[in-house]
Amino acid sequence: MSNPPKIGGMKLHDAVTPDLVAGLYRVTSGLGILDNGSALSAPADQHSHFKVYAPRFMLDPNEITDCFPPPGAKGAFGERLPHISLGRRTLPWERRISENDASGEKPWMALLLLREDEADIESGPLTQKLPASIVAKLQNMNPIDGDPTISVLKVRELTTFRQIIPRRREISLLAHVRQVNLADTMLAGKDDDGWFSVLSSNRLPVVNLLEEENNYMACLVSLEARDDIWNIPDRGQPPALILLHSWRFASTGASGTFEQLAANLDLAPFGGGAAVTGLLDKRGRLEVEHTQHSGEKNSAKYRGPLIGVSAEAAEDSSEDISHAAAYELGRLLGIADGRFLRELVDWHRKAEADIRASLEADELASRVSFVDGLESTLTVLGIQNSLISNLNVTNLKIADIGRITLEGDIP
Amino acid sequence: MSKLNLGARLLQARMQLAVDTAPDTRPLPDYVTFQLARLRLLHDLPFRYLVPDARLLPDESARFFTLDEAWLAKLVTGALSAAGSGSREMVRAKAAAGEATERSAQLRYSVRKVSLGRTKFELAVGADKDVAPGTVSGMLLRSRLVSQWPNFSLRAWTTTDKRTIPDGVDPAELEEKRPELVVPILRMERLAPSVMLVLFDGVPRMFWLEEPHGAVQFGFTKKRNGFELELRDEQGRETATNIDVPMRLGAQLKGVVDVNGLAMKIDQERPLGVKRGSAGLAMQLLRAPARQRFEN
Repeated sequence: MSNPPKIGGMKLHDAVTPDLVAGLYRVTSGLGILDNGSALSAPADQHSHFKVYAPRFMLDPNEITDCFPPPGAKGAFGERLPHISLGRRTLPWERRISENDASGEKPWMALLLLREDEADIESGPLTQKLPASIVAKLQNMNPIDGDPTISVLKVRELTTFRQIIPRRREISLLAHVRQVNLADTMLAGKDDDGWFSVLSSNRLPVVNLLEEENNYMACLVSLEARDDIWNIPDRGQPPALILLHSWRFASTGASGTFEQLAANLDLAPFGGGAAVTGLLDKRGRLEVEHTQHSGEKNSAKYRGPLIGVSAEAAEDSSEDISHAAAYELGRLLGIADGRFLRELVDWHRKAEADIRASLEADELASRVSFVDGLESTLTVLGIQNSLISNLNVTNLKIADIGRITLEGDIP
Repeated sequence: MSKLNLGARLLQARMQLAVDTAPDTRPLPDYVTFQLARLRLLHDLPFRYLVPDARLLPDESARFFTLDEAWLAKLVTGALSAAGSGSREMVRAKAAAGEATERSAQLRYSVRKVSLGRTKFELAVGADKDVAPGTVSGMLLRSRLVSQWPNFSLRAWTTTDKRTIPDGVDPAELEEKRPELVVPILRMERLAPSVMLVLFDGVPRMFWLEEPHGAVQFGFTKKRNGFELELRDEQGRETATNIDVPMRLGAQLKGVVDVNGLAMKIDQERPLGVKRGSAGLAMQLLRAPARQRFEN
């Protein structure tokens, strides 16, 4: 479509409509054969069918990239319109509100914001939760397989429903497509194209100071085949809407936006800060409980790999376990990694084989030097030469020496 | 009287001598070297070993540090001794530790590339041979910023100078023009729902946190009686014009915005020539992602 924006930039689009909205399609192909203007008999028309699928009664959480305000969050969101962004850019335009709409003309989803006490969420089979007339309309647009279990949003009061439901012409204004560059976020590297469709609510989560809690639900509802919502008779019940996704958050007067949280962070070098006075010694070490090999308990000092307030080197003393802990942790992590251990053992084995081979080579090259070597190793072992003077060592081969057994006073 | 397999002891002694005098120079397997590079960037290390006491990283705090080379060297030696504690294995592990430390330090850029799936460790170990040694510094962040905006972005710079790096600067443009100002990120990972670990190659003098771009917000500014909106021009720059946000009649208290009325009102101030669509409206409602600047 268009070039991706620069890192940190974004592009906005009114809508990205799919070439085909969801539904069953029939392709008819025929062949006409003419001979000097007169038709000849041709093969019969071919009919084939295919189905374009799109989410309908529920939304896979994987389709959702982001919700604002964050689910479960508590913060000053009173000046912000809640929104949801979806990873599939055409998703909001893949179904239709009315059969009279051109395909992709209006999004079929809307994000409604309700106070917790204004609406209820129910779940049950489609045919029980929606009036028969709506089910028939849905069937008519696209056949429904069986009777799926759905969640519905039921607003309690008709006045509330009428006040918050976006007007027909507003539906399109509340959905757009965003193209961003993901290079410097955690999403980077994952298979994502940087395109999002975004649905915004038309209502601000205002804080009512008379209420103790200002709890809100943001509800993504399906408006497929629902042009009835703008023509409800005055004494009627608010219609139940199919709920695709919902999340809750609380709006407060206090701080809680990204800006406020970031500005109020407590910054200090590691080991610093107000709460830790006296916790670490001057080398940045923490006193920890330590059980010795004997089972005796005493205290020891530990400093991890992070140097903050003190750059003084750790000392290797019996009470400083920093380096011992690092060594032991390295060993355990090495053992825990099967491939690491296998390759390391293999490396040792090859090195051992190298030594054996070089010893054999030495022996072949010079018997004398081998014997010299043998004598010096015996000295290392503390075995006196006299003990082996009877042995005819010059005739030994490496392969043999593993089989020699001596009896006597050997240290 | 004791019986001794003298031959076996002789052979062992010879081999020990050989190892002691000339420890093996066979290079470590690539996988081992690469795993050591990961360990050196604190991968797989239990959190308790990094932060032995919870008070060292309280709620809503950020803590800065550099990595302790001596500690990491012990970690590497320990990992290399995993294959056995026989005397020849120990000698060999100790002898290999120095080279292993150096090689794994050179691989510090590759660890992130491999974990992002951009390259394979087999290729990286062969390629990253001329990387100069450097200090690794970092930050631990425990905050609701991490749990609620896990995709926030972070950029680190070598200078605090506001003339070089003005507040609203586009980091991509700046990076293109002055790459030497950027402190590369070696690792940025959530260790727990609200704890983020960031490692830098070098010590940044300044860094900023920015709200995720995918999650930029729509909104207004509250005033005494309702809300107002500061308009932008067609390039997205802020103008000084503020308009009152029309609310839907009968639903003011509920906070419902008259979206259509708002679009028309914006069109009166800044006509586009065509009727304003959702993108045009969104551009006006977007609040720039918050960017918080920190100096070291």
